[in-house]
Amino acid sequence: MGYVAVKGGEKAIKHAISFYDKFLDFFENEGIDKKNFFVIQEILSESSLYSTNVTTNIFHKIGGDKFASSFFMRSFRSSCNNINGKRAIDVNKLRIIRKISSAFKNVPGGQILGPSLDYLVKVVGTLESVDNFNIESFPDTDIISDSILESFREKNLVKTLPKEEDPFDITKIFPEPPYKRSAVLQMMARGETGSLLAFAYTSMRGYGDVHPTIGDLRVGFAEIYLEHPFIGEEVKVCEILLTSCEILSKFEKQEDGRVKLTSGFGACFGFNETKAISMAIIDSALYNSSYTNNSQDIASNFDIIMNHIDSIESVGFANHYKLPHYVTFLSDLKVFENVLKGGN
Amino acid sequence: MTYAFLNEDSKKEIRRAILKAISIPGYLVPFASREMPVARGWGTGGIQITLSIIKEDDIFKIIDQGCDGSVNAVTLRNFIKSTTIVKTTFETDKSTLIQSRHRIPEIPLKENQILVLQVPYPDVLVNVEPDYGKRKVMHAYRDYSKLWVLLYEDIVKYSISRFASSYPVVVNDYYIMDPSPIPKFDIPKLNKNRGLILFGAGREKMIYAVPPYTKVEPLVFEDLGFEVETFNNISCHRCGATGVFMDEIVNEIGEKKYYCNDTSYCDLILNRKSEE
Repeated sequence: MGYVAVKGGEKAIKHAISFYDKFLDFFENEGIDKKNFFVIQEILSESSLYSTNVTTNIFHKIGGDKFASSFFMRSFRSSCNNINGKRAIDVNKLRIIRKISSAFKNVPGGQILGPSLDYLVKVVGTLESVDNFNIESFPDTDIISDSILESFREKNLVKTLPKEEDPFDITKIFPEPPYKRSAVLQMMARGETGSLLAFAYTSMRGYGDVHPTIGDLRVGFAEIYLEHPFIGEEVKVCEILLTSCEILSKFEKQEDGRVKLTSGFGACFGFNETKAISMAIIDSALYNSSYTNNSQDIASNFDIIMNHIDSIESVGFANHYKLPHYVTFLSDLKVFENVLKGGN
Repeated sequence: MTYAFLNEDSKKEIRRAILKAISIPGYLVPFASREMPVARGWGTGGIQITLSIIKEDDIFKIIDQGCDGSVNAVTLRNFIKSTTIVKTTFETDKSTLIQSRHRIPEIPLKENQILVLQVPYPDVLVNVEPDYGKRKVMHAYRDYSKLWVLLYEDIVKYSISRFASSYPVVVNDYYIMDPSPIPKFDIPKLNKNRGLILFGAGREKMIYAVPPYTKVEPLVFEDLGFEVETFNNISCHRCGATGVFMDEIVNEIGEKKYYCNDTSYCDLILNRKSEE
């Protein structure tokens, strides 16, 4: 029963913290350096190329510069052939390692804390004293369960946007306004975590008004199928780690007069909870009307989001100022001198 | 480690802010807000108040969304226990100091009790004005016109305000205050409450207070009144209680069941029944 499960908080926390370490060990065996696991997850998602080996390698070689690693990976991506067009992944089908909902005490499939340090008091030294637990006492069956928002959608309580028949592919064409939602979500999926977080935080704090309730936040493995080039059949080629987040926000009157709850969605490669939550908040700000009276928000501006979250672009440009600029600066000075002369 | 984690100067600063907050009910008092070993947004304001006022003989209770056993309550309780020598309890009436997130316990507070509420958005005016400097001026002039317009527009559009939790309240007929995200059900409990209620916003660095026996009223148009969440004809599936705030839980076979949100109240009713 749900009631008992919630009261088991203390035990669940201990397991979540202890599992965290085991989880990192697992990936160490898979080739991802344990000490840099989470920064590598960020790079994976920003590269828009899922290769744990190459990412880890390049990250080590260049001394752990996150931005430069994403840059290397993105340029590596340009040299890879896209053999199979675009595929959609259903996040409801993820093999879950962590799934939480803050909207309800109990949700179908349960609250699965998985590996997490969210509930650890961050006092230096505490991590060493975490109790170990017997992982074998847990069932090893796959956990697959729907987002709680599905039940809301079935009852027609959530605003849904029209389904796109032919989703955009930002890796092939740079999107132009008015932007398709698939293009917006893709831009965010490879956007830089810090940038997304900053824009989302403006909305959370009052420049905008998205105060989300996390309906579903999950981390899990997705099976990737491709069409075999010779036999023409769908074949499973790999599994990738994904994070996705669905939030519920304020309700809103629709064009047909019905009042519905609004939602927001974010999903990206790797274990990136902050990024997925930020994406969902921005998605919600972009596609739903503002609740309060202020019009000074940033996160609901398509032009801002589409053009200011990509680290390859922003980091590249910020650093180009290190290039010599003596020609332009000299012409600036000439104008300045003229103005001074005229002013006197 | 220092008793109650914070250094003594920090505690002193927070106590001064608390005293000022009590002296001016509903007024937002800025404070330095130290970095805590829990993340911002997870109760750092509440925990700083608690740590600054907790005495060795206090009996401490902490709840999160009504529950003593939910994850963040457990984390913070363990943290308090590890840095003080206080006793902890789940029972509302046995505690002297209660920290809570999003709920006021069902059992009314007593005169010697202090309730510390964790606050995400201390300033209710953030709903209509994002700039802190401008909001301060608005409070100073008691210029709440934008908030009234927001309420009015909601009522025109939806016949009800969309403030569900964090419903704005007028404190002592003066400042308009954010009561923290408690449900509307808990708003009437603030009025003329016998205990001291302290509000702590760690991320936004504000402390405010509702002293005992202070008039607190929801912000409403006089011809419309105020409606709280109702749970008519619903009793707790576990203890049978009625007239309390309920959690809605859908069980594995799809049945909707209701349980007391205040788990210690639920235990209390259940114990009383078993004694009868």
